[in-house]
Amino acid sequence: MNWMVQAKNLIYDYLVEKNEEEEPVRFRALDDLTLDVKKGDFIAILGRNGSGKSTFAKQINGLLKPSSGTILVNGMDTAQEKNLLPIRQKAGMVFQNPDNQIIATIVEEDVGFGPENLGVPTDEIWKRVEKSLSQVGMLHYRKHSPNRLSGGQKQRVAIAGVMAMKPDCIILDEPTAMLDPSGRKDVLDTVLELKEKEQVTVILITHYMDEVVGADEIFVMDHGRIAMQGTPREIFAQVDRLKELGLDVPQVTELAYELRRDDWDLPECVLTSEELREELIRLWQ
Amino acid sequence: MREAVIGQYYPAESVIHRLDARVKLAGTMIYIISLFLFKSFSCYLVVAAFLLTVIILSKVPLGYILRGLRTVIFLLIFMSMFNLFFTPGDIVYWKAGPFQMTNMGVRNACFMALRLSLLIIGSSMMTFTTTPNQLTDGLESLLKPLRKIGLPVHEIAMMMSIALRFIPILMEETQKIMKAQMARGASFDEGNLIQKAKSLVPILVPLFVSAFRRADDLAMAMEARCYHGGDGRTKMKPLRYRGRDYAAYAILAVYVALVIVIGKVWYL
Amino acid sequence: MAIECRNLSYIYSEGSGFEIQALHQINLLIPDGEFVGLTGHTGSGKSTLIQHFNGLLRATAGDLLVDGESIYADGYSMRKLRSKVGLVFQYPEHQLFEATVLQDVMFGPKNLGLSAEEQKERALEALHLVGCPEKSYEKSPFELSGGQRRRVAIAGVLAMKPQVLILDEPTAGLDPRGRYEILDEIARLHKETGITVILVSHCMEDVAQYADRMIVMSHGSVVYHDTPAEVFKHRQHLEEMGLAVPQVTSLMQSLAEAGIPVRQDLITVSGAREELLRVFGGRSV
Repeated sequence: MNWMVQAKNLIYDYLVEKNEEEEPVRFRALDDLTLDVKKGDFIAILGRNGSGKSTFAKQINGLLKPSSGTILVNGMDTAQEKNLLPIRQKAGMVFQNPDNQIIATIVEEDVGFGPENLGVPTDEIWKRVEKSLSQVGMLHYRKHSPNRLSGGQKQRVAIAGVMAMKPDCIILDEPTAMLDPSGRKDVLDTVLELKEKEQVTVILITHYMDEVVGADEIFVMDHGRIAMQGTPREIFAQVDRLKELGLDVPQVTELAYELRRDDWDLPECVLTSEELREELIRLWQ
Repeated sequence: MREAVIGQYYPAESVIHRLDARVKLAGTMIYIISLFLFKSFSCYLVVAAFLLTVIILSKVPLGYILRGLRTVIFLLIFMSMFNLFFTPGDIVYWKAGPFQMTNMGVRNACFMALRLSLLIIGSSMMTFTTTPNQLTDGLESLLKPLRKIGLPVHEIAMMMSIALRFIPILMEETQKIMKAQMARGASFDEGNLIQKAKSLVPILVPLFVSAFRRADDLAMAMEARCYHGGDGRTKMKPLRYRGRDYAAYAILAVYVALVIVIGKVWYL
Repeated sequence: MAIECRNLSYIYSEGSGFEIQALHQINLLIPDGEFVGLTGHTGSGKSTLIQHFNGLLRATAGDLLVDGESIYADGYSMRKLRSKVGLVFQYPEHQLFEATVLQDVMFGPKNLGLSAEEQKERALEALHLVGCPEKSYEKSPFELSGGQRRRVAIAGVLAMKPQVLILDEPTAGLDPRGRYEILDEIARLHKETGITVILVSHCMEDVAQYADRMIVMSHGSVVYHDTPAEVFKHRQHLEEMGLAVPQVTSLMQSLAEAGIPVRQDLITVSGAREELLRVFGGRSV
């Protein structure tokens, strides 16, 4: 089986209660979404706030159920109650707010929370906790209180908590939105390293464009639908379309795009500073 | 950055930290009972000596412990004052209307201050040296027999441990909200009682909203990590009595005996 | 209204044995009407510093002059200070509490002891300034979207009619379009009303684009206080402090290092484009 996630014609509605007199308003968060994620890939989902990307993340983990359509995780249907625990073990989730997902008051006890719930034997829990904490570079902090950690460190603990469940896939729902630049970098580096070393599938939901340059595939969501899909190069080449969707591109990508419009001989899409530097030096000579 | 010291775990490697949470819970119970059962300073000497030994063994700095008393200093003073001015006695030093100061009053006031301090320090020693998770595990295990009569023991324990995790976060949040409202010209220490109570609304509403949002997030995060109640759960740190725990029970027994004997032979 | 710090120092929990020196001998003059960017890594002291500006924290040593007057002088009214220096905290929407948007914005003016009409007048003006649509005025703030809620919260401070507006990370957690909308709004406000603006941000791109001058803090001290273009010349030092210069600035600097005679003090995409067009002008690209 090659697919980690297969979503087919996914629709999700929720009701917004106004007040007693008015009928609740039906709001469509996901609108006929079809999307597949290959095992071992690094997938990025971009979109404005309210575009449905977080709702989709919660669908993968079975925290929300489709109003219609199906979503299979590792071949298991999230609509079936008996699949929920295996799905959540296979596809772990890291949330936006670092404080609101750490349950225990000691780092190592928090990382052990998932395995405890899965009924893993005590000795094995200790092994897993140690391994996952060292994978995210937080072993040194195992006895610390989460309250004393920085935002980036808390997110790494949360990632370790997911890794301790031995997942095939990690879904990160805007994990860096509340972090400062150095915290963002730490978290992102950790995720990419896990992807390389442990071959986990990564689904990163974000609105920071510079975080997704290394993705295998990008989906851009808008109003509950997929508005764009492709490799970073294909996506970032469409600067105007991205701006229309309320997103941004890295400064160098925009600069190269502008210069290309001035008829400069540059590649269709430049992703990094080094790339543009090389190109410009080439042009200078 | 004011911190709530009471109830906060203080990480250290000590024999007290390593004791089984059940021993510490039982010990704290016995300690508290001993505080209220005996009414002589001589007994309190034993109690204080016992407490001091525990403090030294626990490697929690004394200054850190005493800071915890600061938050309850008003209660302490109030209780002492109450005893000082309202206790009748044989020798009256001073009297004015319903107030009087007697030899018994002085004694009771000192006693009350001592008892409360010993009580607070003693019970916070438990939380200093036991992580909330161990504490709730211990409680869960001690209360297990009550499950038969339908008490949701696991759920209560889980709720307690989450509350302990979020108390410092919500305290910090309260500070933030207070500052944000002060920046909008609010003040919290002016006017009469009703006005003061009203001025709390701009703090309490945002605080509740935030607490509910956090609770929502947390419930989702727990579910995402396969939490499904207490059934089928294993423990990372299962409770297991070791040699030192039996030794600690023995020491507790000696302590109780000592307090009783001292109380009988030497009244101070 | 100018703000001046003279040897300002602040020590957390002084005398408790847990002292932390948060600010170290700050000397600073922020002239009237300037748009200043304040930046630094987490824990550099920037949040502590701005809380001094409206008297929420009191310096343990040194003096702070607002509009030429020492705020630590006897009889100086903190309430008056807070009406002159408005401080918008991070995630300010978390402070909203009233039943309607309008009432919430009136909270500040009410605390200033203004009449009911004046309160309303000021609230309407402030809501208009931040571009909050009129149909939202009678709604509950909790019904609005995240970006709208933030505007309302900013209006809540603006309704105090401050002459200095301080914003701590006003774009945290917003998506790119939401970020630019808020920042543009602030820039417009600065231009139209001439108030002094102090923008605290991790994002160097934002500071570069909007601020006249910037202050860089590290470990409780002011390291740089100059125009963005000048500050960004110290790329290496900034990177050592955990701060990154804008992507185009670092690109231009690396081009200069490679021998292409471009200016190194450019901070925006459009500036960089013009400079490249100028320098490469004669060549066939």
